[in-house]
Amino acid sequence: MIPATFDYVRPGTVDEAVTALADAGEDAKILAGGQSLMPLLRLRLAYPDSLIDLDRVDPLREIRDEGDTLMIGAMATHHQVVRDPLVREFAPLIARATETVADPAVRHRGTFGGSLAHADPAGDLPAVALALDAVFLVRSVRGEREIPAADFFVDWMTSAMEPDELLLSVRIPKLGAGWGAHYEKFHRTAQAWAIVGVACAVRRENGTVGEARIALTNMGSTPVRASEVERAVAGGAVSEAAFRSAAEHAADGAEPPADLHGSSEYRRHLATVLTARALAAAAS
Amino acid sequence: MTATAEGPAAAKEVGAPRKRSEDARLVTGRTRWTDNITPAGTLHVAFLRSPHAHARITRVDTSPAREHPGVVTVLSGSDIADEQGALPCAWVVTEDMKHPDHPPMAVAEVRYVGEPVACVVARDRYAAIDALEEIDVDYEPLPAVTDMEDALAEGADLVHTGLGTNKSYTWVFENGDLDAALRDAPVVLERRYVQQRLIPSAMEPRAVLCVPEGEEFTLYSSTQIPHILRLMLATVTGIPEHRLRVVAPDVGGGFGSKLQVYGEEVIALLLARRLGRPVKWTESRSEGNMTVHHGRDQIQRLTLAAERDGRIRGLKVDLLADMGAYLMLVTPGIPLLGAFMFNGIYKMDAYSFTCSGVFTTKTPTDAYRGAGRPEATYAIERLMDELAAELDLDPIEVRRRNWIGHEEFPYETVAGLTYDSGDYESATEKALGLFDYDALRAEQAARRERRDPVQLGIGVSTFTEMCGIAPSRVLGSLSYGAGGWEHAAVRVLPSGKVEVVTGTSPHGQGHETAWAQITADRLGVPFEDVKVLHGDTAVSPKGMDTYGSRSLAVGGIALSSACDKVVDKARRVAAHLLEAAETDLDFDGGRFSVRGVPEEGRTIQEIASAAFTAHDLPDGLEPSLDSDATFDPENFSFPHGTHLCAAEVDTETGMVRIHRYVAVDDVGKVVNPLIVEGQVHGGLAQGIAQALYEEAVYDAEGNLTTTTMADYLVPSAADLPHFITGRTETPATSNPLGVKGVGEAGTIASTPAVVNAIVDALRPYGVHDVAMPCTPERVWRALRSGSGTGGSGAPPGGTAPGAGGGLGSEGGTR
Amino acid sequence: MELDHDFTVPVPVDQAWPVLLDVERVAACMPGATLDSTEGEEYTGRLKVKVGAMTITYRGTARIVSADEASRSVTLEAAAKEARGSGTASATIQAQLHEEDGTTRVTVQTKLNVTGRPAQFGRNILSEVGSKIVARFAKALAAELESPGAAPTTPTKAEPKPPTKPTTTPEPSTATTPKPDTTAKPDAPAKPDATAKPEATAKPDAPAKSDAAAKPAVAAKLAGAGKPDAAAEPDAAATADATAKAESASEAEASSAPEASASPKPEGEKSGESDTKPSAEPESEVSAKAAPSKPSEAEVPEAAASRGRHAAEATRAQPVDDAIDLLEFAGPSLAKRAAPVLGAGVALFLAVRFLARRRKSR
Repeated sequence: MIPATFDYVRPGTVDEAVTALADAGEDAKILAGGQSLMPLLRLRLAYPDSLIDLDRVDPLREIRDEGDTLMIGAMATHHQVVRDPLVREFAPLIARATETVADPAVRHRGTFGGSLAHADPAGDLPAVALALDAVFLVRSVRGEREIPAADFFVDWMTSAMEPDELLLSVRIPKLGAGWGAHYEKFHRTAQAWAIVGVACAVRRENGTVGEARIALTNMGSTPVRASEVERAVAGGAVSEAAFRSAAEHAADGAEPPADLHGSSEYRRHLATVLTARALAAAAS
Repeated sequence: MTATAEGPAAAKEVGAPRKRSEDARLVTGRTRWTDNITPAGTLHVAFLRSPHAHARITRVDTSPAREHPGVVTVLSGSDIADEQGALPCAWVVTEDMKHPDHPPMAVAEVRYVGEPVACVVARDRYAAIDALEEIDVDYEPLPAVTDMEDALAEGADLVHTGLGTNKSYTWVFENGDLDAALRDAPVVLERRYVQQRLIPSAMEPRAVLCVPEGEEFTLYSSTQIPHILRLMLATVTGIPEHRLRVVAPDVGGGFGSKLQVYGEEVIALLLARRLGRPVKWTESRSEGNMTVHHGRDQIQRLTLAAERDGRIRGLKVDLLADMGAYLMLVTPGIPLLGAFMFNGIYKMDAYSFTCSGVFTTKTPTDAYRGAGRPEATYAIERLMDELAAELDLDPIEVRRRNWIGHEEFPYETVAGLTYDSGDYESATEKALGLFDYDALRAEQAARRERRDPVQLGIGVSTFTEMCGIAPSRVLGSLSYGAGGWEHAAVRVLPSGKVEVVTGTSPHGQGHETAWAQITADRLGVPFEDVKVLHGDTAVSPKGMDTYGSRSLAVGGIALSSACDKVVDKARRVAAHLLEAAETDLDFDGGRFSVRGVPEEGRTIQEIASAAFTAHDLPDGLEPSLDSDATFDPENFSFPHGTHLCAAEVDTETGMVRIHRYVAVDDVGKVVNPLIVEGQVHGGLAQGIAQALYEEAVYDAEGNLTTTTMADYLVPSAADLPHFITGRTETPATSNPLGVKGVGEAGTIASTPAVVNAIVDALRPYGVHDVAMPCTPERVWRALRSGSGTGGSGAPPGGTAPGAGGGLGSEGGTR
Repeated sequence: MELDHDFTVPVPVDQAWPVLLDVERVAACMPGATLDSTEGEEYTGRLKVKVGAMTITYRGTARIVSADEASRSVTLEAAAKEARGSGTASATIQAQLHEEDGTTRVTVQTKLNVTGRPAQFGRNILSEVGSKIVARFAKALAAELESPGAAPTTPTKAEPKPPTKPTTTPEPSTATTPKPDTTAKPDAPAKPDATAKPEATAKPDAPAKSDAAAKPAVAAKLAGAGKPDAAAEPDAAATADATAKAESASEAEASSAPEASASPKPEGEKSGESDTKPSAEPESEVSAKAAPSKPSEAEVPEAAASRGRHAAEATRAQPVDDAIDLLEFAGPSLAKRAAPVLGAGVALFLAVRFLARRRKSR
């Protein structure tokens, strides 16, 4: 298919982008690589009036060490993120999850910020951002603000950003020594969406679990934090039995979708199995 | 004589693993794909398609669309009802077959989602597609018919009201006394398997361009069958055949989906005639998923009777085959191609085959890689594993007790075919060795012992198939509308270079390389000196095209014969020039020499030059070496092989991973082992895809929910295991090259191997079947229910969650 | 497919019953819905479903085929088409009220058939989108049922479509939305040339060229943000419908649109920002109305925003676009606030579809 007609704007700076977005009105969309938007356009499920292409806004591609946090620019490509030494060192969960996104061609075009702003609960990165307590920096002509991950994902493919706001970057609190991370993605083919995914980071402390952060992909209309499991494993033994027991609660409170690739019931079951595995992998 | 009969020198090309000479341009796209061809003034077509599975068209308002900038014309089905004719079905399988009218563009009623309703012709593709949104159609929805068994019930909603039934035909084949075989049989297995509907996913979407030149037309199409298409277009439109030229430029795959006469091709021709301008249409992927004909889609009810020792007494096959909404080119015959294959490589005394073709409000089905044979092979190979389990025998052993021994060929099967050659023992031995069968069985036992959450299963598939389609008289006996011969011509140019014209129509198979290899050997000319021409009815006037693994086994023989005729002509010229008797000449390596005086000789290039100048030719000899030949095979060829699959099944999630896959194929003599290897790999991918990944899913209202690659999961290299391949070589005796065909073997053999492996892993859990594709959820449900067909629990029907044949549901049509 | 849904509203059956029969009131509860006209028992309207980047707009008709006071049950049939695709949606809805301790339990049975693009995916787009819409609808309906007095029928602004003068947008005022500055408009016209140079926006420098235009836009933006002061466009300010009208009218405007937004295609240029940033206030008025769900402000602006584009489009291809534009106008907030009541039928059936989480099928 071919997209319907739209206006196309390609700003060169963040200021221009923000202004363009403000000017364009609510039926504008940001093109941040095109991984998800291009298919929607081509299928004519999206009819934006205008596209604002951030491809030339190079400053948004930066990945920077900011002390306690890592700043990842919204336009950093998946490929860039996977290979970045800072990400690999301080946010290995992001590197691991990003490696599973789509295929190499898409990872060279798709971007970190684009995937997050799309807020697809079946996407891999939203759960990762949620698990890591990432903070989203957004800007509009009205100014800048920060949105914590817990508040960022509002509903199915809906974020807390206003239509005139642009995602600039995401701050990721660094995970230091003692932390392990794992992204357990369950999908039928390499390029398919996760039926369920588990983003997990675990800090070991004297042979026990000091702290665990767990969020689930495709288990609801937003990524879901598995708080029950986090509580259940905290302070407990690093053992498969303990993880399995805790993971029994992984789907508590979740309302997973039912679709062609899996029923709700099956997703609930997978969440428990995969969470236990993710914990074990992250803690090892 | 055979390819090797000419001696070692002549055999240097055939059998050599040449890289394909056509690939550089094909893989870079710098070539003539149909969509790459845009003559000046070309207009672009877009089709408005039915969103309903079944509805009456009450009004089509095209006027707003006509006003859209750039639009040249907009036509609904009723606008061209008088000239569009009906799409052909060339295979009337029974005298009373119900054969509904199939207009290229729907006029009064639509019967599947995606059926064309109107089209826009515009100056560019953008305008055409934009204007589609401005066509207003009123539909009066009618009941969708999505389930074959329901469709045959009393009082069922009808797809074609005028037919009074949803059954197109019932076709029966019987041999031996099945009742006797079943009576008092010590073992009787009854099984029901579903061959899910698949979507052929050729890399190049369909495209058609029609260029009018006065009263004549050149139609470029991404088709497998330029010759058949030309005849059919002439028939449908009334345009005389000699005023039509059909060109299949480079074609990017078909898998049977381009063995078709599509409505879009007819419409393109009609539009070019109406408008006097070139018109082009290229489909999008999601459009293609809805409208390219689909494959498989059968419900198989099987009864196998056997002795206690595992020997088969008889087999009863009762099929429902989904035709979809209409009968297309060979739709009704596809399941019947399996009628002769359900017995596989096994001996039995009684066999009964009944197939009913059923109309549903879905995309029509037709040929898809294997076409009837994968379904049959799946059934018998699954049954053999079931029989082994029933008798607590090793599945290899059960097969040994039943297969045709290598010393028994030629063998007339219970299905009436004569297998000319085969050596199942050798292929199986080789496969077992490559697989390390005993070690994997030990590993399986160990995992069972320790209750490993990841269990191991081993699946066997010892298959055969029929290729080389087809002996014309056999096709005649099956009421097929054409013959099965193939044609080739060889032109020796004055400079000694050679042009080969073939009636086969390669769309990825590598004929340009393989045909040049054959020609190089037969004529003794360098490989590089041969050019293969194909796919254009003005260049290659005669042919039956490419499908059914027929090209080498039929077209290759025609080529070989044509080459031999060239040599015979050249021999007469050589004898004249060398002043020797023809019988005293040797021909080797492209040179004629007088026996015993090897320095006295003429090369074939010198003879070509002599024929060109014609200054000194024997009296009465035409000044030409050019020759052609048409070959009609006397029998099919029967590739066979043994495939072994070890699958790991995660019992906690249901995920299946192929641990090891061994394919040993016997495709007879091999022209190019690299091409054979490529065909096997691609075939395995497609067969494994049916077992694990792919299914065209319709909801209860008849919406196809797998219109995109996000939902219709075609596996990539990342999802497939490393293949271990091997070959045995038992030459076909039914053709002079000893070749059999390899285009479909991998697809046919691999599906049951994989499912057998999954079921084998789960037998301790009480599972005896999992519906295809064996999705993780289906495997998980099978484990939980401890048997059955992959579990229940998913709500039946509906668009929602896991229903209506959703991939987590019980499987396919009920 | 069949859907079942039920919910309870805290009012007696006798109070709920008349509301249920009042299509305009029910429709007003449906986010994204617009009622265009009523002809006898047949209601014509549109519903815009928007989630993330996806937008599906339906237009169609609904009619009450039976209403049985004795059993407190109403049956409604609705049929709609996608405004820009070939898909359809049709439904037969039966709603029944049950007395329960002074409250009313509403049960709804729906036979729904959705075709076309939204039905052709493995992921259930409509049900995902629907859950959201439904939540809003149910909340709104509950509120509507509870406050019978609450202004039921807003002024039906009848046809937004007539391409009247966009700029004029008289309606807005009616809408109550305070329209701060009209300035926006002015400049819009001023900028007409913007159109001339479509490319401008693409280039960073564009702003320079058409800065005039640019600024207004910003202002508008701010306004949208909630600052009344900003030079909201007239229409922006205007209530939704106002916008609607504006839009249609706007073609004229479009062409003149200063916006400069860089659209490569001449036609595409977005008409002035004028429309773009309207709505600061709309919400307030919404609340005034006691509108149920909280319309995201976001949406309001968008509706307005869309205008510009549409207008642009209108220029190049009128008739169809016209309809489309209208549709888009219908932002959720619109529905409530103003006038456009929606095709109750359509709204209701969709609502139902969404509400019902699970289908039982066939």
